[in-house]
Amino acid sequence: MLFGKRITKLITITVLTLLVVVSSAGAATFKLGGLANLKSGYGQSMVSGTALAIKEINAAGGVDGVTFSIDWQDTESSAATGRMAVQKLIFDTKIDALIGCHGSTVVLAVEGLIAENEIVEMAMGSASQVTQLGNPWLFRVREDDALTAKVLANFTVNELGLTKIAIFHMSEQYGVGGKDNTVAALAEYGVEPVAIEAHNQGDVDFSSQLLNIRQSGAEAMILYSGIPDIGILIKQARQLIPGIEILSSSVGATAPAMDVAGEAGNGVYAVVSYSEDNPDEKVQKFVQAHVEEFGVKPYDFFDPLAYDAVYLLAEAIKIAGSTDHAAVRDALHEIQGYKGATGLEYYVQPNGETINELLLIQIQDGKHQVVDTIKG
Amino acid sequence: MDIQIVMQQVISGLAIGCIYGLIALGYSLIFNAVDVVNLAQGSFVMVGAFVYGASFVRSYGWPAFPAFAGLIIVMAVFGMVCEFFFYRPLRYAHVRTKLVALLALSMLLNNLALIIWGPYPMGLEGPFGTKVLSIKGATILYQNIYIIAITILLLILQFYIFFHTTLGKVLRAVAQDKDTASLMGIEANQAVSFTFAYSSILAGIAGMLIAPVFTIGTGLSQLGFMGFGACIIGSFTNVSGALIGGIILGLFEMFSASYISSLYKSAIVYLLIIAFLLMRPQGLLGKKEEVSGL
Repeated sequence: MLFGKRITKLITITVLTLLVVVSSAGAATFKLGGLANLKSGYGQSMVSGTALAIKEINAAGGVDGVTFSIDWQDTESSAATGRMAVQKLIFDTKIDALIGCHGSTVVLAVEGLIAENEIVEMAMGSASQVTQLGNPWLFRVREDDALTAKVLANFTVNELGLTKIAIFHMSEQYGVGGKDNTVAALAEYGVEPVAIEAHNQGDVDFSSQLLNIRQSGAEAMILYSGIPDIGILIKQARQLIPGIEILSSSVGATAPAMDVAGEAGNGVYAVVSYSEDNPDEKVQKFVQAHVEEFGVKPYDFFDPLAYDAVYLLAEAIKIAGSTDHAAVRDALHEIQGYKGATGLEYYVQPNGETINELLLIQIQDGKHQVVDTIKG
Repeated sequence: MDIQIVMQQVISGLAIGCIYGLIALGYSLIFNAVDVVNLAQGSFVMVGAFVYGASFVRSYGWPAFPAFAGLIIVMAVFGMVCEFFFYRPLRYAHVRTKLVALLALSMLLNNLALIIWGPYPMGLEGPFGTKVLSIKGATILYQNIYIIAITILLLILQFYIFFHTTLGKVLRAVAQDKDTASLMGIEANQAVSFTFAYSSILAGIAGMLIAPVFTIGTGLSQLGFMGFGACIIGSFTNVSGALIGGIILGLFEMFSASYISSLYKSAIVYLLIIAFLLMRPQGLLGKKEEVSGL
């Protein structure tokens, strides 16, 4: 009888232990690493976008019981710091996937590390090289700069009917890449820029470059700059070159850029992947959820892009039925036509691109007026 | 060479030069009083822009005059607090120690600004909006005329305080020899505290004036380097020299960006500053025995 009781106890303990193991296995966590310049507005947008997505997913019980967590590391916009941050995320935090970085320089610096360690990276750098590397672990949840340049060149030449075009870019990789892509895109229409000017990040006075552009007789100016530089630049351009058409990459249409430009921003065209003024139901639902969670509207496009990046991973886990890194990577390629908070549909390409359409907007009184949706 | 373009370049160079000169006035004031370059002066300008533009005007919706009065009070207290914690404990230390402390203060202020006001830059509408004055095809912002006028006014005020008031004599006496000044019954600590307060007010006014032209953001602190450069060119010890140095710097920057390289304009400007340090370290208006800079 005594022996029988012991056996019963052992069986009970074994069953309970198995239950704990099974239940804890059911509550697996998919660990994300976040990579951004956390002192920048872009970085903060990515933090809030991912936080909102993770909160929603976890509140709904996760994806097939898999919940999400994220560990953010600051890149300080430096490739070297970015590499160290990714090493920490891979070897200390033991992440399953990486969100970021918003800067292509950092993305290109860490892409080897994520491939070696088989970590899916949802990158947000817009340089064309990002998806030309042939890295199967690298996906981009942002528009390609080349696509932006094609849309801007096409619209300026064919819709506005202007051929005297100047390019004004910042001297960092984003600006130089944008300039090169635009020169190539304009060449397809037989147009050569009448002026190409550059500035350094953080510059506050652009008078000399703008006067050179004025002297060139340019009718339109295409901008690739950063925040807050682009807002000041637009302000000064309106004063020194009245009447010139101003077109910009997505940065010119962000809330901080429009805030700095003020009235001068009226009439500026921009190519964006997201507009909070887009009446699309999913966009408005995201904006509302953001306001409820943080008390403010999303500041820029990185907010919904980071939000969508988390949901794309969740979708891939659902398709794969597993959190195995290779399975998630392969499942991402099966995502075709996923409607995101940006209002765009994500079609994952073999090279890792996910966005193939953009919005052309015009700024009026600090708001976006959608002019067209353009497929790549 | 198009005369309209040259005229525009001169006007734009003068406007940016006056901004540098205005910041340089703050450097000059502290240097004259305590013989130390306030490496946090650029950050003081940034704090002034944030306090006036981000807090008083944008957040609280205060009209221009109450916001200006509030700025003066806040910046005066802020300057005295900075002096009390970052200069006074080190007043007898080596000049290098004081410089490191002020550099640390600058970094601290930049990071505090990020925490308090966030990383997003903000725009601010000036009293004249974006209205411009056109003179024979050249355009000048009314805000820039306003900056030039206020800068000249502050220069005259500073000149008057330093050389025609008892307070100025006290400040100069403390700057020359604190111990002897104390023996003569001068409250040296109070005088230095006042100097920091006044310099902080000047920086606050500079921040208030330039916020509508540029933006409100932590990047404003970098303008401090140009104010520093203006003092090297003009003189740290001569009040007018600060403004003249600023104008030379502004014009040189404008013309080098237009005719040499816009991309390397900062490097070219620093070459000019280095040339002054090598060939005329006391600055254009400084006396020969003085060594400008540190």
